[in-house]
Formats: sequence, structure tokens, C-alpha cells
Amino acid sequence: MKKRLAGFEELVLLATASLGEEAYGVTVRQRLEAETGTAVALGAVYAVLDRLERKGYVRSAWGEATPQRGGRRKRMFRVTAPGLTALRAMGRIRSRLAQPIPKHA
Amino acid sequence: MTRLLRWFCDPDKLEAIEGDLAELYGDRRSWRYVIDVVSLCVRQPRTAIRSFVAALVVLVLAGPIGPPDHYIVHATDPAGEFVLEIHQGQAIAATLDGARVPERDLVQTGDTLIIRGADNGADFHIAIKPEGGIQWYPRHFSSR
Repeated sequence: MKKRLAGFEELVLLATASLGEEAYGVTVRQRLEAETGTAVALGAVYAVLDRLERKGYVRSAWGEATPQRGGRRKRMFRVTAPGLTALRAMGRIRSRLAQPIPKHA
Repeated sequence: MTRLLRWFCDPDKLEAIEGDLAELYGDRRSWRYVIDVVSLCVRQPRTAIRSFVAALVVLVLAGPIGPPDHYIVHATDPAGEFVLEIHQGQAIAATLDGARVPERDLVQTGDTLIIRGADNGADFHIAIKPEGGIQWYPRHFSSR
């Protein structure tokens, strides 16, 4: 059976993809909040990113440490090829579902 | 809160999480910070049992508090998505499919909220529950 993306998983994956090499907990959350206009808990973002990593849709690696972060490294996320494929598949499903219902005579 | 986070949180993820919190809040402490720490304790646990303990603590603390003073509801039905912002039981803002509803179209009487024209042109009735949350009859999909 194909692995499917749940609603919030898809949003997190889209936000991660749109951020390119700048995706980590803070930026993914900021992107989601800016686009949805609602508050998102940091724990929810990390829980979904972990799940996406287990599914093979993102991979993480340690990034830079900045003084602003108290010298702690960022955990950077990148969308993988299967992740992009899953996003495109979801996009196609959405487009088909959004087609108007045909009128019957 | 830092000790709580270090006790509950998966040590492999702690560096990134503490860094994110420092970047977001610095030395400032707010309710948003507390919510983030609690959500991280519950959802990024060192062990499953610690996640359970964290969830239990949240439930015990939240139990006597009653309905939240201010909350946001995200809901979807066949007609689309809508979001309500509720403050002290009163709907103060709403969006339909991401578009803000003009204030004049939000009419609330007691626990009943009406969004004018939001149900395929007809009024959309929503019950705001005193204990928090909403109840409504799903609107039908419209191809318009």
C-alpha cells in the first residue's frame, strides 16, 4: 500500500520544500504560521518532521550554530526525491478532486 | 522549564530544540514559550513513558482550568475550510478558505454564531460550546 500524507504532514513538507536549504524548526514554523495565519506549536512541527523522516520524505543534518542560538546547532531538513514525488502525487489528487461535479441532464 | 525540557526531551534532539527556543524567545518568557516547551516534552520524549507522564501532567493541569479564554478552531466540511477565532465565548474573527469574513457578517446570539452567506449563499449556523469548541451541520460542496 502506498504511504500517504496526512493534511498537516503535507503542509510541513510543502513548507520545508519551499524553504530549500533554510529549513529548520524555527523557519518551518514561521512559514506555516505566515501562510495559514494560525499559531503552530514547535512540538507539532518536530513531531511531523520526525515522522516524515521515518517515511523517507525528508532527511536531516546538523547545520550551523549561531550566537543567537546560544551556540547550539540547527537541525536542517531537506526534502528527498520520494518526498517531492509524494507532494506531486498529492497535488494531482487535489486537482482531480477540485474538478467541478459534472452536470447531468 | 529548561530542566523540565531536559528531563523529558530526547537527548539526540535537545541541542536543536534548545537552540530553536533560544532563537525564538531569547531570555523572554511568555505563554507561547510555555506551550512550546510542553508540546516538545509531550511530542519529542526521551522515552514513551515520559511522553505519557508529560501528557498526564498537562491533562491534570488543564482539567480544573476549564475552557480556554481565547482559542482558534480550524474546521473543514465539503464546502471548504473555515477558521474561527473565539475570545471568551464570542467569535471575534473568521476566515473562509483563507479569506477573512467581514465583521458585519458575523452575528452571534448567545451560543449561536451566524456567518452570513457562508453556506452556499445562505446563512451558516454554528454552535459555540460553553466548554470550548464548536458544532455545526456540514455545508454541502458547491462547484461554483
